[in-house]
Amino acid sequence: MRTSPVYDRLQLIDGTWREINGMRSLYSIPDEDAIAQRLGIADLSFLNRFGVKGAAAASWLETHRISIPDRPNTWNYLPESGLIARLGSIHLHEYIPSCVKISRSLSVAKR
Amino acid sequence: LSYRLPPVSGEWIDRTQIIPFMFEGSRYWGYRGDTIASALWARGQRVLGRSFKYHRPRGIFSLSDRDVNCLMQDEDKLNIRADVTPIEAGMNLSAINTFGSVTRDRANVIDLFSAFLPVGFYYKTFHENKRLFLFWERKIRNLTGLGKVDTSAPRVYTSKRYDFCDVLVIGAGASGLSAALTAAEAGADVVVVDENARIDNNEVENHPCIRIYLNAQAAGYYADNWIPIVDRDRMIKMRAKTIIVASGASEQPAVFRNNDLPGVMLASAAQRLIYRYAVKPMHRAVVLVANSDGYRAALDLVTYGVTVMAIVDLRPQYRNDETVQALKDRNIPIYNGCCIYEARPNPNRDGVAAAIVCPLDENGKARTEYSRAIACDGIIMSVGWAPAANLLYQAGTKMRFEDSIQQFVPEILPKSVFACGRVNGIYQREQKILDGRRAGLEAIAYLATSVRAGFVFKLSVELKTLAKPAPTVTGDWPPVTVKSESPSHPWPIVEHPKGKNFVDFDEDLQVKDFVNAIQEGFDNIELLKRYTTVGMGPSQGKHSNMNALRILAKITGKSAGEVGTTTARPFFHPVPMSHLAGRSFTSQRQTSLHSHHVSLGAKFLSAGMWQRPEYYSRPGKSREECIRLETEAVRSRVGIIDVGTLGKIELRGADAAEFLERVYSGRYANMKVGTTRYALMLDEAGVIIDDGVIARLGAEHFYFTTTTSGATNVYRELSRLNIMWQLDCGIVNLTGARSAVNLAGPYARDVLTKLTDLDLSQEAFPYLAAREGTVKGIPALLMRVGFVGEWGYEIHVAAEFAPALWDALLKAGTDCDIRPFGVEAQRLLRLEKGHLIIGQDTDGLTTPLEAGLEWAVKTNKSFFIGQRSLQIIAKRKLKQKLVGFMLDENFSGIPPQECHLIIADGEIAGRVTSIAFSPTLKRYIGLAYLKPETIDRFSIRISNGSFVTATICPTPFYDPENQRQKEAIAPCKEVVV
Repeated sequence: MRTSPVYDRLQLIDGTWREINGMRSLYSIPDEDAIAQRLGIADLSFLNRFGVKGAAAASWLETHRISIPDRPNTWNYLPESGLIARLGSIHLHEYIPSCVKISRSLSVAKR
Repeated sequence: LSYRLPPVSGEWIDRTQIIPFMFEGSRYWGYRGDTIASALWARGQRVLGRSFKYHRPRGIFSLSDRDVNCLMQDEDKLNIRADVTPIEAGMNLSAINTFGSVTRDRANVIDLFSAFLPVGFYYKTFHENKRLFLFWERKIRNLTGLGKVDTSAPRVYTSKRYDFCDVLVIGAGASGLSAALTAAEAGADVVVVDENARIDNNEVENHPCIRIYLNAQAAGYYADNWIPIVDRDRMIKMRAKTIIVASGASEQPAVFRNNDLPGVMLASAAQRLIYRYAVKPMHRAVVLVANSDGYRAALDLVTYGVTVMAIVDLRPQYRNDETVQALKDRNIPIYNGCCIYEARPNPNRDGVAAAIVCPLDENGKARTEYSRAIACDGIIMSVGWAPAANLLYQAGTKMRFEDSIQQFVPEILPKSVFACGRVNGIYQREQKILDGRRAGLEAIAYLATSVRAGFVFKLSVELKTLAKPAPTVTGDWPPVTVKSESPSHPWPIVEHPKGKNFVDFDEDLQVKDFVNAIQEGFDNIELLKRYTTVGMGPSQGKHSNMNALRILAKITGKSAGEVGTTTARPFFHPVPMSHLAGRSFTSQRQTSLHSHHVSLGAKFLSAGMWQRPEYYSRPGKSREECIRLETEAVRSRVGIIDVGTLGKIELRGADAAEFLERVYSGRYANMKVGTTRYALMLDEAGVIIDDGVIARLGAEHFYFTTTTSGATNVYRELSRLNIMWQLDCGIVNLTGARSAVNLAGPYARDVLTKLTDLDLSQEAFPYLAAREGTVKGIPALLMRVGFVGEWGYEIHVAAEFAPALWDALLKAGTDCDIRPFGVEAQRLLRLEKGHLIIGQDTDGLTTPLEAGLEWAVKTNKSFFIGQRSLQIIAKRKLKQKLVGFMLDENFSGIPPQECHLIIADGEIAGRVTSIAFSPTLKRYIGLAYLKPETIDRFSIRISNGSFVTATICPTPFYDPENQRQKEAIAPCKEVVV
């Protein structure tokens, strides 16, 4: 039922699709390991994510034992999986991958 | 006749490579490494350009970037500086600003009439009689100007580059290279910039810590040591932690009659011709000097086969050193205490035939009774220098005039900016090297002390010991030795009753122009500059400002330091426009429903940065028919429009309501949860800038919309205000994260009922209410709004759910023959309802009082932006008022258009802002601004000059009682078509 903003563009790619988190997602493409060796880009819109903003954002996250990056435009891994990015002095963003498999493909895309 | 010398040691030319090119229709050639000017001069071509105003013949003057005597055009490349541009095979060059050719420029007759074109001519002529302006403007524009723009030239992309360094050294002379090496030895990342093509210093060129930009100009100084470095192909934006300005000095001309004739040149130009390009500047020279550099140049000329006829020294005495003795040994006469009174032209008036030499009296005036003519074909000038201090001025350096060297030198430099060499008043080679080392050490010491987060400078232990003895006070290290002479003469200017003694070669300004300007009261350097335009040509005063300043100082009886200088703004050196132009990155946004619109046949238009469906095309139907069908669908059945482009902002916090009270003109503190309210935003002047709808979702929670084009600016402004006011609330811009569709029409509720559990009855979900629920399982915010004048719901969902929502609504609406409608239909529907569009029915001056939106302004609030201005405006008589109008029912001519004027008694009485044919009312309706006193029937003047009569009528045109929002409509099922 969810649709990625780049869904239309991804239709041009010959790959396998799978529904993840209620979103039809491009799951894999041929030779993706070879591509990732150089430079790859993957659509991760299916990830669940939310934003936290406000003067008390940092302290609230700390009460949930989340280690937050100390400077804007930096990020940390979360304990289980996923990561947390600091977008500003009082604005944080968390990306929580729903399954391990996907977080692996994320790491491939990042390599 | 070739002027090319036998090989000169260190010459920059490659004699094995011959480059052919065209100049003014004739074939020429030069060697690889030649500039255009050196190649032409070597072939004996003396007239290389024509002056800007009088079209006088001009040749090599500085052989550098400091003058524009030789500006040329190579097809679509404009204003090429022949002095410094290397020749390339196939160049097809011509001098700019000539009529006929550079050698026979018909416009040089102006030279004879120059007495009738005094400085200030334009001001005087046009101030009194503006009618003459058109005549003269045409004449002057034809006769002056630079290259001709070829508008069909292909577009050239000049991408910018970015660079960073610890120490930026500007100028690769002796002091600059010394500074660069000193800093590099300490491990700093050093960049050297120089305008010349070569450095010829192995140590610098091979140093691992030094990068070199050649043929490049540090063309300006911006805050925080941000320097645009301009080369032929691009601009490099350099951010330096420290800057060492070693930009040297520009040699200055002597001012005497006909000092602009081809063949009269600066000593440094003659030396460059010889040593770089192996070109003999002339055969017989008279050398005018006022410093030891001039004697050195005279000896260089002699060495390379030029007959020096005489040396004329402006000073009464000169120092008898080895160079002078060498010249005396060759029996070259030296006339000290003399000047060149004028250069006598050859019969063609395009070169020098003789120098007229006169002794000077004690007031610096030529004693013409003792004049003598010395035959020559060239005159060399070596009378002084002006520091290339533009970057220092732009960086905010305080300069002082040092009398002993007749030059401005830095007095107080900004913290991270250093200066050395000639620009710092140091002229002797050994001292320049020491001065460079001093500047390099100071830069390192500054870097070592300014270690801070993000600016860590790694200093080796070795460096720390090196940096320690660095002095903190500029000016006392190295010790400035007593100057035996001043490199610059205080008054290298000779008056002449017949004039043509040029101070500014760019603008053909003579001594008398300055005298006249000062006598007319322009006796301040800033006024003088603007009135005479001195220094405003492409050379930016590099060869003229100092002499202009001297003339002003002499006439007003002030010192040069008291007169001061003007500051050339960056860029102080002309830069091709293409270097400055950026690529256009106009963002084009598409809503998350874009592909759905495409598959429905949408024709798109640009709305702000968005692409929105204008209408949906249908086979065999015209645009107008399609739009009409869409409006009919909304009025009689149900339509759906993508309104995801609206700005969408969420506001939370204890002070959220207070925040809205301040930024919008209405009242929001008393809104009940689950309601919406129209919101109007004003600026400080009380002018309407945006509107939207505010929904209260909780006591401390609001969600509101802005106009499509206003979204970015409104969010930015609200963020600014939130920081300024420090209220307890936070705003989040959800414009991209959320989508919205408007489902509108008599059967909107029937369609929605199928998809939601929400109670859609009038009692449970009345007009202007807001509800949160699900639509086909999608979490949504629904607002009952009536922009198009029908029962309708604006449904806001997360953007990723928009395609699913759209599909569900279209499917659920099939029974009711639902139709998507575009922006055009929406504009018509809202016009029928009398709703205005910000930016179309308002402009940059419209207040709520004029637009008929008084009802949305609660003036009794304690504060809102624009309140005070509105209170003042309210006391005045309204100048115009937005009204509705109709054309006659049977009107069948050409209808007026938006922006057509309303004419009453021969005067403009208003203008049309919206007009359209209403299918519902079967006639043209519109909105217009009108003077309040305009009578009910008025005339609109249309494009062909004829008039159309219209009648004022109240709005809304459609459903004035708002019956459409009340429950009186039969359900969809009962209407079977």
